[in-house]
Amino acid sequence: MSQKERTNERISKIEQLRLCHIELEGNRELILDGCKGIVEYENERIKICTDTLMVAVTGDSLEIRTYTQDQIVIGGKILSVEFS
Amino acid sequence: MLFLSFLRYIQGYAEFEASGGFPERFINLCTKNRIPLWNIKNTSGTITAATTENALKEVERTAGKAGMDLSVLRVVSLKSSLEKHKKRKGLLFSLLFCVLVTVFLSFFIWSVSVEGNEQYSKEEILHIFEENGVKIGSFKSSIDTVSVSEKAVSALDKLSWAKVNIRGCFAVIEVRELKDKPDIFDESKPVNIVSDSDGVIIKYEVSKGTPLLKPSLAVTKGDLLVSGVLTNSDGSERLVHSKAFITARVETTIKGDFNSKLFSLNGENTRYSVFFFGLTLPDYKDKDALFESREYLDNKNRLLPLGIFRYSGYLFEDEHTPDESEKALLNAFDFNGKAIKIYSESKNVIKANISVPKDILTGKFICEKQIGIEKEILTE
Repeated sequence: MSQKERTNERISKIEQLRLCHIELEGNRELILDGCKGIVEYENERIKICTDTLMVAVTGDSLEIRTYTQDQIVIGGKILSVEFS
Repeated sequence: MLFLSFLRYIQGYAEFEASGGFPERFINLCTKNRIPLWNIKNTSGTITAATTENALKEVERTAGKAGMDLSVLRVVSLKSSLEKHKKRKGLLFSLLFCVLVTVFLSFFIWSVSVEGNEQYSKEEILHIFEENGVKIGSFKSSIDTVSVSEKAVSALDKLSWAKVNIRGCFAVIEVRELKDKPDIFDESKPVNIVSDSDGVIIKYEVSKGTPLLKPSLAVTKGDLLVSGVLTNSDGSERLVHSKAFITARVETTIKGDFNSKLFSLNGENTRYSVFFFGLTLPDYKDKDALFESREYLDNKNRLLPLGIFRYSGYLFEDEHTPDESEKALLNAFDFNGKAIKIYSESKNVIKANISVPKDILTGKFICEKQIGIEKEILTE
């Protein structure tokens, strides 16, 4: 493999490792950028699929305030955020 | 957030409920097909959410694909609200009328306030500006703020600057008053200090001049107390501006003595008007001859264009000589005024003896007061 090919491969691997961006406002609102889809949606648990991680938000009276192609805003009483 | 809700109302949105099937698949499909969804809630397997009115059909199709049963709860839009009230033309006309009235009223001044006045009362300043067109109910475009301010400054001596600021329907009159210049004492003029009343000297402090007095010296009005002529060591003389504080015990006698004729008040004529947005109802034709007082509703120092005007007129009988009881009362008032003057001019009232010989209120006051006054030494 030439030097150029090795550099391109390294760049593509880095691009593939794009991580999601999460913002929390206290325990009342969570904004997640880089969302690919909803895996599970219950009143007390919402599981979101991103590029590299699975993010599970647990809480009470959870609602999806907005959901676009890239971003999801979850409101309600958030108790924990788990990554897997 | 409120603006966003307003935009959604204008555009139109629908709230729906979907149950059964696969809620996650339904939401993912909506997002993939760029169907806007918000306020998504999951209650015991039933999804409630909102979407735009235009996207409702797409949502129904997508719900079918996810195996969900969809029911529309309500559709809210400006268009549907107008459709609902289509036959109520009165509502539209009254809305239009309100808008037109508000726009029309915005061309007038509805509140006038004054800022920066200390010596002049608010009423004096408002009166001058009213005469020049700045008042509640006046048309904003008709006011030339520069010329009105100039006229006000020339009408009121103690005003150095005035400006009318019109902010919306409020006119704020800002004024700046002249400060009184302090008295400048001309100490180059040679003066003597003489007594302005009869008395007995108690104490004195002479800072300049030749004192010609001593404690317990009895003096009469006009006596020279401190001379402005100073003798130099070589025997020559020079003139100075004498300065001294001289306190004496002065005896004053006053009597209550009212000798004028009286006018009796025979009745009062009071009328009221309501002031409403520039209109005075009723508008009395003879109000210039009456005493007017105005009370406006106010909101934190801003007068509002609502109030009550009171016009009072007093009717008097012809003059007559006061009878005994009236005379005694008036004499007492006269005596009281003279006594107040003595108290205000004296440092201390040592003794006051008040009696009523032959029904005339008489008072003898012994007080301490400053008796020295300056008298210029005339030179050629």
